[in-house]
Amino acid sequence: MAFLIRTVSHSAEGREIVRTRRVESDRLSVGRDPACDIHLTDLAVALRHLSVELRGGRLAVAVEPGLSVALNGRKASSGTLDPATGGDIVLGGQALRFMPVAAGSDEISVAVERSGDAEVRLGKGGERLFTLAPVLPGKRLLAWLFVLLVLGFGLAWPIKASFDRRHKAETFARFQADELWSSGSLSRAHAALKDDCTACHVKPFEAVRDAACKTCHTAVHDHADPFRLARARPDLGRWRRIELAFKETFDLPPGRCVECHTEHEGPQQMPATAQRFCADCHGDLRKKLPDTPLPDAGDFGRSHPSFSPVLIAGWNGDRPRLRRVSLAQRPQEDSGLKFPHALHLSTTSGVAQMARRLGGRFGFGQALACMDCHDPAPDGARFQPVDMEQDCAMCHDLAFDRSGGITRTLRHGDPAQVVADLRDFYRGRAAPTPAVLAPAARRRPGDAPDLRNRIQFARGPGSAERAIRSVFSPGGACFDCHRIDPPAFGSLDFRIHPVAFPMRYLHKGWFDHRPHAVQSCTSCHGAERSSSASDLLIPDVASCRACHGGEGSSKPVPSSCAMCHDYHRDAGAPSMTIRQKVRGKKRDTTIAAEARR
Amino acid sequence: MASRSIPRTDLGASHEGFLRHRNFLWLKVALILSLLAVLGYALIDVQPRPNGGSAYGYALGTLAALLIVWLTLLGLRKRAMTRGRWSLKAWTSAHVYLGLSLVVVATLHTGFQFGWNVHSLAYALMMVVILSGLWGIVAYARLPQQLGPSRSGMTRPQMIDAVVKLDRQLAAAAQPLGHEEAGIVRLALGDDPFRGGLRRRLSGRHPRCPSALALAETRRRLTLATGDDAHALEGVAALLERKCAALARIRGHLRIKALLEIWLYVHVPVTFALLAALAAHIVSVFFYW
Amino acid sequence: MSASVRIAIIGSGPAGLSAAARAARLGLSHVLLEKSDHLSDTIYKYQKGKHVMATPSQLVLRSDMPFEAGKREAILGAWDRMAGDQEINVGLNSEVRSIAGGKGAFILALAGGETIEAENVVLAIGTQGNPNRMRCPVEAEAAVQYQLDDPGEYVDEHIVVIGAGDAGIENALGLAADPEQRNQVTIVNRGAEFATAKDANVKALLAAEAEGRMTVLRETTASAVGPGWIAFDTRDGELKAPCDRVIARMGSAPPRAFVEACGIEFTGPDRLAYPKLSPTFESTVPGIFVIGALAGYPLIKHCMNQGFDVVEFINGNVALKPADEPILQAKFAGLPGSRPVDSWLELLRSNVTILNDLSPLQMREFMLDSEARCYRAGDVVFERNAPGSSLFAIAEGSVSVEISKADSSITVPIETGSIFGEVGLISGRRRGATVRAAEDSILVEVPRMAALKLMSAVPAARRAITRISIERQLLQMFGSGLVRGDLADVLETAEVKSVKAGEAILTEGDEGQDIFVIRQGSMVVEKSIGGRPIFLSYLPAGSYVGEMALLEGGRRTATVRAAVKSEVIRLDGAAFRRLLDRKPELLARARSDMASRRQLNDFIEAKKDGFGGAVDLYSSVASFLVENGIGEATDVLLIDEKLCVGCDNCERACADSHEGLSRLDREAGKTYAHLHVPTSCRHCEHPHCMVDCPPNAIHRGPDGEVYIDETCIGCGNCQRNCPYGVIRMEKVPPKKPPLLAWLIAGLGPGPGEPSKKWIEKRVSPETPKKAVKCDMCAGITGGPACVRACPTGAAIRVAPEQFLTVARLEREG
Repeated sequence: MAFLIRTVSHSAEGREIVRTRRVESDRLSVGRDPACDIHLTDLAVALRHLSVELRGGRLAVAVEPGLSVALNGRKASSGTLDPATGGDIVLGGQALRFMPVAAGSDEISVAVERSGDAEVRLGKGGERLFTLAPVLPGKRLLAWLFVLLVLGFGLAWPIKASFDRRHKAETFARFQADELWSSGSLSRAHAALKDDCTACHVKPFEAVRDAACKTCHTAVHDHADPFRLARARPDLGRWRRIELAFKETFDLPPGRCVECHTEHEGPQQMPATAQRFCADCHGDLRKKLPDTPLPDAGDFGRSHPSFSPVLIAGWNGDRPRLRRVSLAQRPQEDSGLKFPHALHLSTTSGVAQMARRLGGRFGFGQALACMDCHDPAPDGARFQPVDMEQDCAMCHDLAFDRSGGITRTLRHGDPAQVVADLRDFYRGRAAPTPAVLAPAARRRPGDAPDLRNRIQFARGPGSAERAIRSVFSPGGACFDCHRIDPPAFGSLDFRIHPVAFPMRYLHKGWFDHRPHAVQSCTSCHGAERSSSASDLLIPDVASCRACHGGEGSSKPVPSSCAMCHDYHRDAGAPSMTIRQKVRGKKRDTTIAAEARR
Repeated sequence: MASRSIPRTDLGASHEGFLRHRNFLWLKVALILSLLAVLGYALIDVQPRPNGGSAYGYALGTLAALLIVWLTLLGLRKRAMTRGRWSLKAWTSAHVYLGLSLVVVATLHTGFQFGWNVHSLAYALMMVVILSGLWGIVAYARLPQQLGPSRSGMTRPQMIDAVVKLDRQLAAAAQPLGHEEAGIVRLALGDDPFRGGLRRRLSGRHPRCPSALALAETRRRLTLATGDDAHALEGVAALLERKCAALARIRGHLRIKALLEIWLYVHVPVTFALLAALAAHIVSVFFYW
Repeated sequence: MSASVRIAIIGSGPAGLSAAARAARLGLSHVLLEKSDHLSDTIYKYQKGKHVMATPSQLVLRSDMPFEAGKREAILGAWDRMAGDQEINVGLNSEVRSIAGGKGAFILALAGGETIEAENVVLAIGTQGNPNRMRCPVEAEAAVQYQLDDPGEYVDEHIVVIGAGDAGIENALGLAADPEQRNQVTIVNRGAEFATAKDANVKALLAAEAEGRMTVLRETTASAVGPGWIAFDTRDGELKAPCDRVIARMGSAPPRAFVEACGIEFTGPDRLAYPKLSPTFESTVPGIFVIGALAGYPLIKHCMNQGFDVVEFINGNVALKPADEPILQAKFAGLPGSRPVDSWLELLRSNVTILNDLSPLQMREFMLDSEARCYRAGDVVFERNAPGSSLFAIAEGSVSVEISKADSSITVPIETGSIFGEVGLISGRRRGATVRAAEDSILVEVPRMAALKLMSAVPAARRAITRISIERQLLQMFGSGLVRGDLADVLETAEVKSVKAGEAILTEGDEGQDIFVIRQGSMVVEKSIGGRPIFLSYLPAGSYVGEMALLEGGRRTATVRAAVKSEVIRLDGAAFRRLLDRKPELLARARSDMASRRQLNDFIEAKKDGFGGAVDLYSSVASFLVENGIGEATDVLLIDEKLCVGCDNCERACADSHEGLSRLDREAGKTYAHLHVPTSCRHCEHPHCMVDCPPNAIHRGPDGEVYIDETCIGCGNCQRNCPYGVIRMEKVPPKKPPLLAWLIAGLGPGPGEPSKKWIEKRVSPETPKKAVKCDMCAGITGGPACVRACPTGAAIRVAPEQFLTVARLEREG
């Protein structure tokens, strides 16, 4: 019996090397020991790993104790093979294939093959091994990952959201991805809009337009005609030009609300317009707009035109003629009333004595004060018009008869009624005209008995007419305060010229009396020096400047334009002062004393 | 003495590193740039507060965006071997310093307004990129000295070869050993110097390195062995020592290379993230203008 | 067999085959004798699948044998077939030992002992010669072979390789390479050292020995070989070893001995000399014709044509014009006066001194390589500083040399018959002066290869060229109004001396007045300070030394040793002194040169006292660089390892700006003090690669770069000859996908040289390899890619004289 051993191996360039050997024996030893019949250099194989012996027509495989092999695929430490069918033994990296023995043949051929790869080819992949590539995910992969991630979250998602907003109503008022784009929280005024990007950002890639603002801010009007506005702009410097060009190319119409009302700048309010923004145009408006009625105005302290109050310049019949006249022209006002402020405010005149006398009843002081006749309007900003019955009558009553505790009073504001009352009073009796009825004699408030005498006297035919005339004539009760239109000769149809006061003199700027309450009225209004009602007591810029200077001036009250004027509205209080009220901010009041000087 | 006039071109010029390229030209440029940006920021008073949406903000933003794109192009420049008088050294130099100046420019562009939004995301990513870049600069400044010596004059393929050869010799030398000892040697044979994850690469420490273990074990047995075994074991031990040395060489080299390279794994991918974020930032700004 | 034939053709290479084919076609009785057992042994020995080129392309093939560029196997196959078809009478295994007798009745004695009688003999045995045989007794059954075609085919054998030359070592390594083959390889070296082998091979051998893959027997020779055994006598006695096969690689004897034994004279004693031949290839022995490589025609087409021609000649067809006639006609077409080729050749031969004693045949060969052009008066032949290594000879007219840089009016005439441009030829440096045609002239431009061939073939020519070149070199160096006359007696004393690398021509402290002019190679100047030699400076070819001692008297102040194998011209001090005395301006020049050198010395001394460290470093770095062959470099790539981050961008850039193959290996090469000399071409002054390039495809380009043009046939000679291993034989990879495709999608192998696998997948195994080496990115605006692409500025390219100046020291010190 013999074993024919075919060892198959492959050379480096893949050439098959077959070595055959014949072992004349029934026993075949396999191991790493060169002495073995099948000598395997594989270290996984023990020196003497196993032996195969032909016993009783079968091949008995005996593996060294403690070792094992794969016998026909099964792990085993001993077993048999049938030569007729053959079989294989795998140990280490090699396979011993026992070929089926043809009947009658006396040799068993065994093929020894390397099963699987012989040795780990170290360093395959060359220099790449030395880089970090094998131990880290590729840079390209990571890059793509990040790119997709960022684009997905930062771009795709928000865009989708923003389109949802346009089509689904319910998206309003809850978080949407496009808020990832918000560069900062909205101003207090717009805080409510924080979840509604598309409220302002109406169209993609179109800068926010005024239209968006105007959906809510309906009342606001333009500062001026856009064209004139544009022309009034100060000469564009290079940068402004560039900016403009930039805006043109990117379709950003100049002068949009958002240019001043910047948003996403955190929860804050719009600051008062800085003086220079006004001065840019108004400083030398005349130059740019020769036809403007507006005088140039810059810093309040230095270049502010004198006020031009609206006053009653005269009358067309009963209708007052209002005119806006610059104080520079020392305008006179024709209110139709006769009233010497100086006399009433005097501390020495009879007025003062009377005030003292009546003080108890009407709460006058040592002399009359402005407040005794002038009542502030409810808002306190301005004053109510003077009312005869309330503000004058406590002194200037029109009583002319008292009999049995009943005082008869001439009806104020109705000359016809006055005439009628007097006629009626004189009807039936006549009395000698008391001397005191001499037209020359001046009536003084309070000498009622005197008056009574006269009335007594006037009773009698023809005296009524005289009495009526005297009432309307100089020295007469009406004539003192009112301008009388005398009737045609012989007629008694006396007419009183109507009286009117403007509710507000300064329409273009805002003035509020309350902050000024700390000042005495006369420190601004020169009433105690005014002997005629036609004097206009509106203080001039100079007197304001006693305390007010331009923005950043050293005056006690630095005042930017925004304090009195507002960019958008001109009636009513400017937003700045309103805000100051809202914040309960008070101007420092210690200035009074030194301001009076 | 030499009669042929020798061109005394100063090698200093051609032989200065990217950091001091042309006597810090780009450092100066970057400083000036940053200075101008800061000045502008200080002088131009933007109402109500500085922000990226102002004219100056746009200017800075555009500048920064262009810078970022240009800086990214280094990757292309480095690989596109086009003709022409460019020097990658100059590019790197500019890349480093202009990249750093971006810290100033971009930060001013934000107007110090940050939030949880794409805009700040872009900024954050940019800062990450720049920081990783700084790390890279440090690495490039310190490590190269060790890189050359770590090869001890061998090329990478040679280093691998050395190990392969040793393995072969080991296999041969271990032939007479018994099964157990052979097992130990096989342990070492399987040892692949490139095995192990990032940490090993960076630390260069390889606990439980099979070869080392095998060596230790062999030594231990050597003390007990006698006769031929001892002889064979000695041979194996000697080979194992050499293999450990060879492995150590490779691993040392690997470590330095890894340290030189690792920062790029942050720098590059995040750069692309940054580009994406930048795109999102710009689009979003104009989408909701 | 002892028949008599009309023509006996010895050697069945292309020439012999072609001749035999012709003879067969003409029906002449002939025999083709081949020593080996197959036809055309030389090509047979090419590596498998080697692509054989058919150059020069413009040469028409005139032969009855087919031939076109193709794979070795295809060509051999075709020839064998044709040989059969054409009923060529071939005698294989019949090595001719001797040729006796004379024209009409030659007796050829074969190795086997038979003889053959022939009227004419055609020697086409090539230059390969026969391998040296075993000298020891060899029993008949012993397997001894003299070459190894495929190391893979031997398995489980004890193989002894005898002779540790490159061939032997390569065979041995090949046999032992694959452990699977389980060959027991022994290599036997007569000496203890491996003197004749290349360094790389020796290293590999020792490594293999260390790994126990083969046995190396030193100081051993084979004493006897028998079947299955071999006996050596070693230093310590007889040694018998099992041996299944002996491979004897003990070099080969050039065929010259055999040829001369036949009575044929050679043109000169030189190795490269050829047999004297008539225009009909007839040697000095009437009836014996020499063709093919042996006749000086290495290219296959030439050989085959000659085979055809020689048979025609023998057959009496003397009027037959050589196949190269049309080429020559084309060459001369441009010249005034239409003469036939022969008369042109004759004119050139007789007019040009150095060509005078060329045979008409050599003249043809010579002119095939050279160009004849006519220049109008005033035409520029070449400009100062233009690169160029070709030699010019004046056949008619004369030229004027503008010797002064400043003033082009100062010229020196060179008259008919003389030569110029030889300096470029000798030193490989750029042209030293502009040369114009003084009148209408006919000039012959001789390419470097042809010139070298000429010099070796014609000793007279060599002497002439050498003398003229020395004279010119001196004139050019010392310039300042010297004329040939002045140099006469200096030249009398001049002797050319070749210096081995490291050998000193001057030694510090020696007596001596002589002046040395460096003609080839380069020198380093050292001064021993504190007992240690300190590198002072580097002298490229074209410098002179020794003037100090001459002018000052006294001893040599420094040692000057050769950085590489160099050639110096020794001028007698006394004679030179006389010259100086005669020429005050020259004296002044010398003094100023000396002053600058003195200055340098002092500077170094000063530095030395100041801080030795810097000087030592500088000096040691310098010598390190010189050791690494920077000495003979003209432009070398250095890497500052303080800056190099190992990104290999230089290699990628190199590959990408060429055809996808990197010409430099950053890591390979030596390092010293953080200065790394990577493996890339140094563009030597005398490129070793140029020495033996069959198609003469290696040139020095416009910027002094040495480059290989597309005519490369991939023979690999240059790779073998390059001592720095900077030339690779590679297959050109196909185009890569565009860069963006890789950046974005990772398509293709990415920047740089693709992996071997990638290339193999895409390039057919047939495609020939070609030699690639650094060409300094010639023609690429922006200059060398490796430097441009270095991100950190670690890579710099320098000319040694730039780098090895104290400028560095001044900067660093």
